[in-house]
Amino acid sequence: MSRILVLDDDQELVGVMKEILSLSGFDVITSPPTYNIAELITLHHPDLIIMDFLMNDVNGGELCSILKNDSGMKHIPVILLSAYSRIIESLGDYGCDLFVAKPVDFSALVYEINNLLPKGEDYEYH
Amino acid sequence: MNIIRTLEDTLAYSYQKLWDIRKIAARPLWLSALFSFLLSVCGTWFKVNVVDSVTPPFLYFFVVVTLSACYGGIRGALIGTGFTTFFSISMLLFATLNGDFMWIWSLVQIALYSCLCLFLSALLYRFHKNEQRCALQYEEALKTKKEILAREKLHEDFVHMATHNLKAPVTVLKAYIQLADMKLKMAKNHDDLEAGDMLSSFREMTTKMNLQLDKLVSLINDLLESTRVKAGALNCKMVTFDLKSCLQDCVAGFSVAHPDTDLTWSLPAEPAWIEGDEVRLEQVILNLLSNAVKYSGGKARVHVSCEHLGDQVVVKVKDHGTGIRSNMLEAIFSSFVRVKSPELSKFPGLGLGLDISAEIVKAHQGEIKAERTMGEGATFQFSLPVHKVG
Repeated sequence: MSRILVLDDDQELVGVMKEILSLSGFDVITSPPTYNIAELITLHHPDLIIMDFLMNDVNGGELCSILKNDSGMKHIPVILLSAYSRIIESLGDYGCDLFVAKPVDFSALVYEINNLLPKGEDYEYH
Repeated sequence: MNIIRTLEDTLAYSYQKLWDIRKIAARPLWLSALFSFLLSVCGTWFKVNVVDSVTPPFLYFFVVVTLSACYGGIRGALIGTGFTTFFSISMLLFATLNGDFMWIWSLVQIALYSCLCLFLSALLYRFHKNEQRCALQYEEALKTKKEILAREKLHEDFVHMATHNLKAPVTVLKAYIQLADMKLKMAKNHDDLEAGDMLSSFREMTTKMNLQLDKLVSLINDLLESTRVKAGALNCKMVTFDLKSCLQDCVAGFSVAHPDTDLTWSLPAEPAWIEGDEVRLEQVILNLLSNAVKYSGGKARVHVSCEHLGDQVVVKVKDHGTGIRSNMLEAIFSSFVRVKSPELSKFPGLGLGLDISAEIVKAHQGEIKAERTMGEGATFQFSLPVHKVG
């Protein structure tokens, strides 16, 4: 079962996302936003990370750059979520694998997650 | 035409250079006079003692007046001309006393050169004035353009922030709907749906969805209200009522809705009669109370007071929250302030509540302000005129 790390400061959304992704067959780990992403990765070994772009005290774009500039972590696919559609213009700077605009269409998200995950992971839509 | 334009450009350029020098020299008008005096003395001495001709003194005269004009504009030219004429005549009279009778011709030349120099000075002065006017107009246009661009940027940022905040509850709502849909698909039959777990799960979801909808409605109302207020469509139904009892009702209602808040109050013994729209003023009080809770973080401690100060009733709401930076104390009552403040943008909402409250208080001939308590949160207060009976 693929493990997904979800970082968002909207606890309500994190809760419902966890439930939906869990029902879609993923092992979901949630965490409050932190720049100490390396520690989280060492602890949880996620296969994919989903994070919000605009979080309190933490910029999702910067966090994504940190990840993608680290040789030990850059292989992990990162999906950025945001209600700010204008950030699409600067997505190249952050190096994220996918940008998903809020409100999220979860069936499309699950499909994209499956595409981004390393091959060999079977996905079954419930 | 091209030659004239080139000449004009050259003249304007030269004049600009001279003007720059003048600016560096910090405009000493007295320096014009000093130049005139020194060059008059030197030039006349040169004429009398070295060359027996009238031309050399007037060359320096031309230089003096031009320099004077550059230094002091028309005034400089006049002073330069005056001083030069005075000293030249003095020196030439001195020369006459020594037997030189060319002074009549000298005076004619002085007059001619004076006219020429004054004309040149006037021309340069006009150039300068035109240039100043153009520069001023350009600066004003630039300032206006910057203001418009800044306003547009602020407005655009506000729209983005509003969209972001409006999308937050919509995102959660959409997620719950999709979750409910998934659960429905997963239920194998009707019995599964009616099973206790499933029912309680749906009930929990609808409660949360309802909360998100409330947030959404509140944001939309704020936007509508702010637009109406800005358009001057704030209708207040003025009646005489007791602000103290209105405050009591608000505080009591707020305490029930926010049981975690440590809410204390001190109200006067006698009624506080004012003339105003009770519903609108309740809106102001509730806005101040909810802000006090929102910006307190964790368990909020809020104190509400009401007192008579002269012919005013003053209501204060004091919190122990994050406080307000001193440079934001006034700006906090204007629209879009949240856009400009990164620390405020963390909190939910559009930041229009205080703007609306300020407009309501203003419509009641009152005053609203915020005070900063060092490290101790903030105090918001509004004062309204007491209703005078008779």
